[in-house]
Amino acid sequence: MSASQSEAHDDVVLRAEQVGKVYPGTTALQGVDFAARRGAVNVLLGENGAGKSTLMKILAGVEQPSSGRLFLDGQEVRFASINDAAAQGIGIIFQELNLCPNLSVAENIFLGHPALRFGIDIDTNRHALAARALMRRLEHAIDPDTLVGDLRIAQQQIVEIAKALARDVRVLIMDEPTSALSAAEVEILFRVIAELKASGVAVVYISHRLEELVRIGDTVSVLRDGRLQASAEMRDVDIPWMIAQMVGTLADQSDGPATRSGGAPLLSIADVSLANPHGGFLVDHVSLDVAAGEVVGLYGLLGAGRSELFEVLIGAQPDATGTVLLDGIDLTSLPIASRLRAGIALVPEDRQRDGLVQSLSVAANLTLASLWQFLRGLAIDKTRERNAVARAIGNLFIKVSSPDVEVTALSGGNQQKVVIGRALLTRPKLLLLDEPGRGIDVGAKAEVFRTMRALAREGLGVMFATSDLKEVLAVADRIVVMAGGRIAGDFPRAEATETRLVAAANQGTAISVGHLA
Amino acid sequence: MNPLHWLRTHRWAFAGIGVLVLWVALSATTAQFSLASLSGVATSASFLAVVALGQMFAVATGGGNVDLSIPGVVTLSAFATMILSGGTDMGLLRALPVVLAIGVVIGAVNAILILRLRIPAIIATLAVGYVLDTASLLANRRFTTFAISPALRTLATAHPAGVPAILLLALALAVAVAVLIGRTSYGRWLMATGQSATAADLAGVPVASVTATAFVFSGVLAAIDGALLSAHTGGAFLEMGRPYLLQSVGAVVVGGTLIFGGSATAFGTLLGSLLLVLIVTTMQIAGLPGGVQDMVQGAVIIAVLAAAGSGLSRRTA
Repeated sequence: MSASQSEAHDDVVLRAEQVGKVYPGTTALQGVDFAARRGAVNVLLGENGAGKSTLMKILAGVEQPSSGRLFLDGQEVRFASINDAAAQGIGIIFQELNLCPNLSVAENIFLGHPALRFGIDIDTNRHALAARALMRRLEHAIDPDTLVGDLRIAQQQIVEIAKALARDVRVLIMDEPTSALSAAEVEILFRVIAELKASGVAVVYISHRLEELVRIGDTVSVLRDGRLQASAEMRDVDIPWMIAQMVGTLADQSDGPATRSGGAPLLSIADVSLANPHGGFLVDHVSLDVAAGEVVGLYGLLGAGRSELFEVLIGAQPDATGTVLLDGIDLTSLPIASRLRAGIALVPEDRQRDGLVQSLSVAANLTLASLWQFLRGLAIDKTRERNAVARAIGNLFIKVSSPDVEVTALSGGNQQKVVIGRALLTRPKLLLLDEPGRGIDVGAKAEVFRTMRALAREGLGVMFATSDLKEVLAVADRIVVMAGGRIAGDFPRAEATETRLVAAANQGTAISVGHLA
Repeated sequence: MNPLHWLRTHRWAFAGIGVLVLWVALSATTAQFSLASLSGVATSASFLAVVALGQMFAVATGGGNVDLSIPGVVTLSAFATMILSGGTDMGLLRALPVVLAIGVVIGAVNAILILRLRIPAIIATLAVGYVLDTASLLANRRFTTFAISPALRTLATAHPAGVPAILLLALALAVAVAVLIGRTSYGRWLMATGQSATAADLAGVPVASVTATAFVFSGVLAAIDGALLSAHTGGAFLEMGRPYLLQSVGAVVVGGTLIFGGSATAFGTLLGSLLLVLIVTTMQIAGLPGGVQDMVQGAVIIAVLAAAGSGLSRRTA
């Protein structure tokens, strides 16, 4: 192995030159240059749909570029497959967990490159030893013989990381490796990254958590709309710069408080409870009013009962007790369909699973819940449907080349807008959104929140659940804090501070300021 | 260890318990169930086990994959064996490569239809089976001899030390398959592919060739079974592979292999074959008509799938 002189003073291990990728219907990547330096954390940043994951997949050999070239140590390379890239020292940790639940930790780690005795017999002992060593390095006491399906999500993420470390990597691509980890586990991961850096590995790091990137990044490259927007040394830039490069302009969600219409509340719930099958209450005697034109943020920690409250409101929990009034109409014992017709719409938290029909087009997804509006006799009036779809796409600024594109082709933020658009086509009076900002990037979030505020100005009642303090403070007119199934605080925006919200969310005791219903 | 947990990870035990219960019940209640009939049961179960082990590979690839061309392969290979061997051992040497080629080619065709043309396995293999039936029909017209090669007859019908030779063959095959699945990269990759093709693909597993190989195994084992069956029944006839359409799948799932793929047990498939044959024998002893026997077999398989399905939903709930 003799490194040529030119490489010695060039730290770049893996370089992409003018790389492009065209999918049927969309151009995901166009003329992008990217360089991964050895012994450095090379950050890749961009909104959802900016082309990060496409570039990542090209670097790791999962996909082949439509144009442009890749260089490894200055030599042009072509990765035929992920195995091909791995053989040349490129490792990748995917954001979605890609593990086989019925195989053990050790079996998953060595799946792609088993150690063999006599060329055929899998050497289980060597696997167990190596897996144990990897777990020690990652400071996790996970037994290599445990089935992956029996592990917590965070532990599975650790296994995913171990899987990449098990191969001798020179370039390690990490896509949102911290999204499932706790703060302590993130610290461990950062120590491992520092160790990898010291041993000369080039780390390519992708994350939405900008603070994280500032801490561990050495260089940063920002993608926007499939092109390289900017690249810089991390020490020369700060978070506002990164957001500006990603989004184009500095994000600003604040606008004036909504005009509150007086009179009877739009939604009025009294003494709503949902028993926990394991004892106690998931929703514990909640009473609450929401006015038309108001954006109410429902803040709380995980398991505070926010999603369950939404489920009760939409009618998905037939065992709930208490009364629910919408615009004076008693919805209490009505089934979901009747409540939808009465004017409640829910945008669920998991849009991949509950929100969208993956194989249908954007247009079909948009009108799925409101098809009855477009019926003429028994047939669907295509013209009217087309017009409604075009209006929804226009009003919500959904970025799509044609309404007939499959919904999975859209970025996370735009998928979220399709779910909202579908809810709006049912002409609701009250819009419930469960974690509308989860899984979408800064720019798309800002747009979704602007949309929510605009809808409130048009007279809708908007209620959204979140566990993100900044989100709730930036968007809501009024913040209701839930803890342990109960309402633990109810603050007008002007009186809400991070400290008060956190205190309320953690105590579980009612500190009521202002109008508690 | 918790016995319930043990049962969850050793699903073949259910079939084992079933075999024991039926055997004890039959021995206790009827004098007809002699050692001789036990040997008959073992022989039938062995023929079933050979095709079921092949079916197990197809099922293990996951995604609801199944090989329904097995009956067609069995019948065609039986015809090929009879016609080409002409009842001599020299002829058998001529026939064997053709029999194996039938298995490999049909398996490869199935794999191409499923992987390249993306036709669901259940439709693709069913259609291939119909094409094979036509080929058998043509072979039937040229069919002139009922002579069987002596070597093949020994393998299919001999009882060294009272044990059917075919049972020893099935046992050896099951051991080989168990080693292949439990101890080699191929087995590990097959399980990974069945559990999550995406995860396997991204881990560098050659998912397409793993799946294709599984269907080739299925085809080859069905072809071998056809050759042996022709020696056992003393000839080839149309639809002779027919009972294996449901029984091969039944033996696999009754034995504890997950119908959704990603988990397979050769030992379980062996026990599953034995249990299915015992159930049929029980009904024959009880004097139930053939139609009722088919109904009960179908019902047993549906019951097993329902139990496995509800167990699955409970775990994910």
